[in-house]
Amino acid sequence: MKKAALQVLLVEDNSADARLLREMFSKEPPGSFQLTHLMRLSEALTHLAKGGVDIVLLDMGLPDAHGLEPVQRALAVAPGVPVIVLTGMEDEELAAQAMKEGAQDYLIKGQIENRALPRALRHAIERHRMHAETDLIRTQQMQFKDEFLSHVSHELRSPLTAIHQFVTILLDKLAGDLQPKQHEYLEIVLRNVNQLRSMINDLLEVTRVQAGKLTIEFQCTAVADAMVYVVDTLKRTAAAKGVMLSSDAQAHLPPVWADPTRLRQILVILVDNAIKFTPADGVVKVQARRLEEDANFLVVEVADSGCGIEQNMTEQIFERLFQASDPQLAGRKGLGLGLFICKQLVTRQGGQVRARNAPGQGAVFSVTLPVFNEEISSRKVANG
Amino acid sequence: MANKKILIVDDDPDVRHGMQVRLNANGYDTFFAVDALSSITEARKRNPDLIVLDLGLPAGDGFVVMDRLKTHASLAAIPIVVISARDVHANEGRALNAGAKAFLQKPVDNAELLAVVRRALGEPAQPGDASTYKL
Repeated sequence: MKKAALQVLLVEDNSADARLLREMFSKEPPGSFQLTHLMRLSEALTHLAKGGVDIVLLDMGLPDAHGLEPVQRALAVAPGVPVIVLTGMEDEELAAQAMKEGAQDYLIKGQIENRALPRALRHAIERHRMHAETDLIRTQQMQFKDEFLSHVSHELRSPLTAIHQFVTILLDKLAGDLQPKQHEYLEIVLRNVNQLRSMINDLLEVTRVQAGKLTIEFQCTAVADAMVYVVDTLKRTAAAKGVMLSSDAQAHLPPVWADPTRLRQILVILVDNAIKFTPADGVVKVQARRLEEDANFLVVEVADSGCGIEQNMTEQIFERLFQASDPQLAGRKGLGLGLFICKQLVTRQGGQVRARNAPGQGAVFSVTLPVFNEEISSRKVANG
Repeated sequence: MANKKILIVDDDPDVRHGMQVRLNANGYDTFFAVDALSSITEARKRNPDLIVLDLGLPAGDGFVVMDRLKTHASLAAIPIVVISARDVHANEGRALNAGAKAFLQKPVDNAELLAVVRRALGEPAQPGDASTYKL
């Protein structure tokens, strides 16, 4: 089978250099390379945009662009076409940078041997093809992983539903009276069912975050409502541990521009986390106020009287799969996804979440959220 | 007054059973369907006051069931509560648009289930019917 000629685009403004390369190509068997020579980057970009080029030989000093710019712009126009940069002997450093930008190789002018040129071209094309293949495989694997996680968490919910149904049927005495011990043990089962449920939810949520499918529906939202919700939802968890949970919102707080469901989710993660790290007879407080530094933001703080955050860990704790190094402090380990999800949720809503140690004891997590006004609502809607 | 009748549609026998015990304990009669087809035939035969509908069913999902119910004059008005293990963000809106009264995520909080059922049936909320064991 006769192979089609490789379409080579040479972008070189120096006619002597160009002639030298042309001569090298002319020594190759006829029909193996088809050379197009252009002098300016702008012409080259137009040519690349049309397609059909197999590889670009690109000078790093052109009349209309030089340095890394030609590489960056060529790859932006035609990311699927491998680029070899041409450089002078004194510019090898720059050429190395070009490779970091995505060039496949560099050739030093005046040092190109006849036989080396076609080999460099073919290697670059092959290497580029392999990269593209690896990228494709990685994308497919990511996609597979997302689908797998989503499928698994979905399937796990059915048996969990049945367990939850029957444990609560027993606890509600729908199947007759319980001995105190039976009651106590069923409470333990239920607590673990709920833990499992929230892990499954976290797993699904993280899959969504990573697939870029996190949905946020912005509206005018009262922070105090979310605070009432979170205290209501977690007061049993807190009481079971002997932790006092309270909330206090400054009077006349303006509404924020956020997704109320997501805001509740954020607070549940933070308060649940605070309870987890606070020993019996401790305190967890949720407070909201206007941000002193910037009246366009509210700040919601979750403060606990627990063990605080390890030195220098106030940033890392928001990373995916981060776990406290001393699991004794938190009881059982979780998946290490809660604060990661929390940070994504806050950031997507135009706020920031930070953690610090309180002066006395315990940790404070603060979430800022933009105050609702006409301007912000039109802007966010326009952005989707 | 006779008890109200609820059709439970779910392909998982244990989940159906759990739902049955909970609803019976709160004064409702229940009967079952396990897939899209049987849910239509059961609904026609027994004329339920409410349908608790799972989305993931063999041979045609819960959305198919809702579509079919709409085409039967006698069944179109039966209130439907969707209970699903599927992703709430992707399915709640779709279920409500298809005519469901509510979307509940599995595992379902009992108090929420009963509150939703009572509301869908146009009954007043009853303080005593909630499970004290919240999710």
